[in-house]
Amino acid sequence: MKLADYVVTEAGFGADLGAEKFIDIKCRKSGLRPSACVLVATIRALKYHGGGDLKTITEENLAALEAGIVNLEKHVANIRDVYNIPLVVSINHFTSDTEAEVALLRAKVEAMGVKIVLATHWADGGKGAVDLAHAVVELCEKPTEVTFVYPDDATLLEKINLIASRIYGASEVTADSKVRARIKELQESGYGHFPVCVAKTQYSFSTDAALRGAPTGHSINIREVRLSAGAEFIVMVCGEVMTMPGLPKVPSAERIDFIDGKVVGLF
Amino acid sequence: MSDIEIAQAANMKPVQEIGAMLGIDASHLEPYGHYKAKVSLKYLDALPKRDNSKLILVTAISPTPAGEGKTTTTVGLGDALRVIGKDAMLALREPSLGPVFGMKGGAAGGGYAQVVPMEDINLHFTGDFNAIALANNLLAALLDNHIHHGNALGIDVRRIAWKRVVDMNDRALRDIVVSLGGVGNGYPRQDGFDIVVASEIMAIFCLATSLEDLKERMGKIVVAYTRGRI
Repeated sequence: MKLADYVVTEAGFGADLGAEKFIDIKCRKSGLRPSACVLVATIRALKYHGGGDLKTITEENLAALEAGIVNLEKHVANIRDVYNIPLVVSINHFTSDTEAEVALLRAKVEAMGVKIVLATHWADGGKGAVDLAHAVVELCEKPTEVTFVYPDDATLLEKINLIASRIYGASEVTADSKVRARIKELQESGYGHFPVCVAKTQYSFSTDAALRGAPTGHSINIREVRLSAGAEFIVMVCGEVMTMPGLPKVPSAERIDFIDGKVVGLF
Repeated sequence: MSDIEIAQAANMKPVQEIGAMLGIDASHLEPYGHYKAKVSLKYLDALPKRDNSKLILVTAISPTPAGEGKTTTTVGLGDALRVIGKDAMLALREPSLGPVFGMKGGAAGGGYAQVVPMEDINLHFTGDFNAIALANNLLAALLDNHIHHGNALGIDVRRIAWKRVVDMNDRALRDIVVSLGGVGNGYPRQDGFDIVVASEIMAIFCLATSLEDLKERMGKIVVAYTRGRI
């Protein structure tokens, strides 16, 4: 922020996880405040959220797209209405996206009063994202007042409840007695003012990776609570998520090689 | 062309030239080879604040196997801001190796919106992940060593919170038993590995405001509990 007029950064996974932590932990602690937010989506990913099959994801499927846009809409609402950051939706354009699909998506996003741009930087480099750059510069002109999902002085349980209801669309947070006792112990030992860092599946707003789209009324179960006294937050592990992932059946390592002095197979 | 072919065909500028574009003199750069460098902290601390500097956060819909392209968009946007004449730069996270060998295959953008040299960035980069893993694992080794040599602090081996970490997606290490093999190898106990990015050291590294703050936060880490409840 000392070296340039515009600094672009990214937060991992979806806006319910990476961006939430960026706002509620990183920004709260560092004083950084984003002036604008870019929400990235692809038409094929939205079709997948709408129940589309991966094998046919490149074929036109307006019904799946329309059903899957709810995921985008929920993220838009979270960024705009909860984090309170002006945003633009950027569609990472693929040649398989059809005109009808683009038109449908555009209409849906514009109906929310949010700007949407098509970006072709993958094929065209910086020139392909000029519309996005102009949209971002315009957003940055507006004064903003970023808001956190929960205040510092909420209790640890109130914090996870606020994240679950406001960001995940959940109707309740559950935990067995051992976990509840641990949260009470941390609250009473003087760690109650720490932010909560949620570890959960990145594939869904819920803790069930198979629930695509924008599920509501689900329940968030806190499986484990970890104190990070040096980093100054409380990790709440929700649902089945692993802090040590495994490799898939065909790991990409099988395609990575070294041929004629060059590394191949990374992408 | 594939992402890596595009990356390898790129005509890279020496990192000193990139630094000069941002007004950073070569003397404040610590080069790692020709195309990577770290900027001196002292130099950054001494720079005046820019009041009008804008931070832009790139985020995405819930990830799917179909792919979204967050880093690609971040890189594309950074380039596009410069195309329209703005003074822009990127602040990206170093990819962890585990997912590179698993699902991702790389995490430095794609197509003509990539950070180069992408092989270096994806594979080891400047070695910081390893340094963080070792700092984490040193603490774990010190803890088991303390218990082995008499456990003066009375640590409850059933209630050790500090795990070892490795930059590899390896499910075999999730739940393990350590210190097997007899008296000389310490007290057997249940343990497990996390990935490096899940280490509290990594979080502290990202949140610390200075080296002093880093040191102070390291000292506050809770690694284990003693036998009597507090």
